[in-house]
Amino acid sequence: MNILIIEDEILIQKSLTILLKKRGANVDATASGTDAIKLIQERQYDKIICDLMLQDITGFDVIEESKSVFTLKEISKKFIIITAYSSDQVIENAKKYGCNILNKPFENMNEALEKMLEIQ
Amino acid sequence: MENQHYSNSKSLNKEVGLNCSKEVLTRLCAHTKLQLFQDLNSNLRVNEGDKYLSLSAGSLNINLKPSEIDFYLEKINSIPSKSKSKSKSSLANVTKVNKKLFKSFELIDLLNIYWEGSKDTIDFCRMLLKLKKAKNFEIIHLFINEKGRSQSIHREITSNNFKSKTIPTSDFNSLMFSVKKSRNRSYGQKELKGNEHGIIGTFLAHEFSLANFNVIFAFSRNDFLSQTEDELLFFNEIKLYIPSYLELLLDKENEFKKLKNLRMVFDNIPIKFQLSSQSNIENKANKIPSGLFYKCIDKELDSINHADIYHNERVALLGELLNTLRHELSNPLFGLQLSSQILQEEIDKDNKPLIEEITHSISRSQEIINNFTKLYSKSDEKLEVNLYKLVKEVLTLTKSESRNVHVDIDIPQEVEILTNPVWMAQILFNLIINSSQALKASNIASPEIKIRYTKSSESEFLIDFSDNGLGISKSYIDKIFSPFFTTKEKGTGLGLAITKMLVERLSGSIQYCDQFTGAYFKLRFKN
Repeated sequence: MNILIIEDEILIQKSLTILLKKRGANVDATASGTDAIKLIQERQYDKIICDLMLQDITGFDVIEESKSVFTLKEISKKFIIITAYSSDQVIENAKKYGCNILNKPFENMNEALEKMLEIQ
Repeated sequence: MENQHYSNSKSLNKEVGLNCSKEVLTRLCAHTKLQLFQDLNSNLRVNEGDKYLSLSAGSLNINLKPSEIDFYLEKINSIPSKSKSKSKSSLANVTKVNKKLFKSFELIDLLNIYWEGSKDTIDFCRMLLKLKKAKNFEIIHLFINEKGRSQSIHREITSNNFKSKTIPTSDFNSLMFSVKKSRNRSYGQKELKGNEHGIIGTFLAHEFSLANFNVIFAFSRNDFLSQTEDELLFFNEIKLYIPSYLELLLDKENEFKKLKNLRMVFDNIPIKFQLSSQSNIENKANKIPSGLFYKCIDKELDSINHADIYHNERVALLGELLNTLRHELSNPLFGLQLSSQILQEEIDKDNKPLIEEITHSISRSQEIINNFTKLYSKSDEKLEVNLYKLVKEVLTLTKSESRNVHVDIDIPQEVEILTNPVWMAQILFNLIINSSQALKASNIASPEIKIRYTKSSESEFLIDFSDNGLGISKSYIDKIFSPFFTTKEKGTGLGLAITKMLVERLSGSIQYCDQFTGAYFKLRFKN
């Protein structure tokens, strides 16, 4: 299973990477949204875990750009948005793409990890 | 009752006519010291024939409704920058004119700098006395007559002293007449024989006729030497723009005085006034200028309105703050959560409990953030809420105060109530904090708070909130729900006022019972 983590907080990036690798996934990680878009276009990912607040662009921008590679159905299955607080605005946008939202910190660690590793 | 629009007259004294109900009028008349008011020239007239209340004091706008008196107060410490009277009176024009006529800007620049700090005529005069060219002058005499008044003022200003007395306007007028007649403005006692002006020695004087005042301004040397040429020149310079400053200062002074009087009157009538940031004044003819609005509310409503305003502001401010906090804390907490998960998986059995503690702390932290955010979120909606859970949540937020208090939650765990969880949380939060602080202050051995739920009928439930402290002293009991009443040194006095307001918003009621030793609040809600 190939996973891409897009997150600019290094501690989060590294520990999430370790947790997922331990569970058998191949993990790429980047802090930059624009780099992430390149990676998405060049490689194959089963899951993309994307923070909303990135240094350069937002998570939703990344999703928009990935439309060049994915169908809408794929987007809803592959992307998982992680965010501090799922405000109404965020939820609405996520609904547009149909993808999952996870709050940080996780409300339930095991459930969250499960979601990240399930192949749909 | 009709509102009269406020007349935008050119002079500072505006008169506004109002209608008011007989009841309000009676109350006002019975308790306003109208006579005193008139003496102080605040132009309060009551015309009983058409139930007409006329009030004028600078920029005051009064609008009377049956149970309220709204009045609008312009920012009284702003000096009008454009006076519709002669253009010479405006400060800007003064400096322009003088710059043209005089090469030396010393005086003008100095005066303008001093202007900023000049609070009243006394300060202003002291500034003038400090000028280099005025070094031989010890005293400035100011004779001030507010036009139409039978009494005038004589102020004697030195650099470190100040005397003021009233003189009859007739004396003022004769002095004014003499000063006007004189050609060189330089006086010795001979020239003004027969005038009770109280100036010793020689002096330079000039009379000014301003819009609302007549002023005689005199520089006194307090000796009998005659003025030098330089001093005469200086005086001639200065008298060109003193009037503008004097006018603004005196008008300002007067406005303040009138306002003070009005306030005094309003303080003495049995109708309470409070600050409101909203106005109900409908002003068809003119735009409503910005400023403070005083709203007069019936005694019973007074407390609610205050609490309402402060509560809304507080909630808005705290809501924003907490949101920011939540965002900032989410990343560090997330990082901690993930890395402690890793540790938990890597660490040997013996140390696992320790890591579990860390994980637990992290979720507690997040819970606290969530609960606080909920507490100050804007919410008007009513939901089915589990009361036991709500109380528990609120308790996590009060830990700093309720640490040593045993809280007995006598609420069945399955009870669901239809309520606004945010308001209910705030109500409980406030009661718990109050009790905890009081218990701590009274040093009770085993402090305890009890929160009990009882369903009193199909449609109603009760929450009894009590503690085992010293209770509230009988003399305060009828005040505790009033805004700003507090016995704490640093208290705002708003907690219970807001609590009561929220309870009533939820169509409930709150009462204090003094049957028992500790504090005991009975809250009643419709379900």
